[in-house]
Amino acid sequence: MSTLHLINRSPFSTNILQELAAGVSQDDHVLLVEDGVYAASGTLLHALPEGIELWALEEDCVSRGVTSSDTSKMVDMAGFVALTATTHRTVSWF
Amino acid sequence: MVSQGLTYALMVQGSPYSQQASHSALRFAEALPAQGHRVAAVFFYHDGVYNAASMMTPPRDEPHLLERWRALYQTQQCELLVCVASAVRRGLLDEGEARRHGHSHPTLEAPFEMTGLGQLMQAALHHDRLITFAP
Repeated sequence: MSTLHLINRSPFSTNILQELAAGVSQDDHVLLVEDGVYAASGTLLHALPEGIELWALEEDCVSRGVTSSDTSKMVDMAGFVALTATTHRTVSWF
Repeated sequence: MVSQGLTYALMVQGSPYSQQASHSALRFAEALPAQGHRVAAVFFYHDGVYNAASMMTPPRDEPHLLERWRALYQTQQCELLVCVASAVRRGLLDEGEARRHGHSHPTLEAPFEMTGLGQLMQAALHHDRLITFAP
């Protein structure tokens, strides 16, 4: 069963990404939204194990001036919807 | 890609106009029909209950979140469920609760409904997905 993990908190104010690293499974997806997208441009996502698909919500990146990196791919709101449909469940970390 | 339409339940825990949760949830819900899906229920919990404040009067050049929820109810026939325990302590009372507590006016009106956590469980069990929009 694949899970979509939603992160909406800045990596600079929480340790959620480190906690998430222990909670993700192979084939899971992680989507950064809201202030969570501040993790998209840097090296913070390297904390997560291999085999996890990393995404960042484009509109939240644009509104914060965050550009994506090699580690995460941009997805628009339609892509957010598609991720929730193709995974079996969605878990929000906050 | 999933072919048949899914029904979604959303939980909103963020306060309107101070956190992004309401905007994120509305944008997400409004994007569902394009892929054949539908939001069937929205559950407002903790500070998220302020989304149902019937006297909400934002400046005209800002999004009117109450109107956006009402429009969502109109277009997708979703239930707008408000946690009664979260709402009453924050001053959000429907007509019955207002009368019961001796207040002259309700501060929460249809299509929003006062419900309990049982309805959140029902929504989580009955619908295909539950997405939480965190504070």
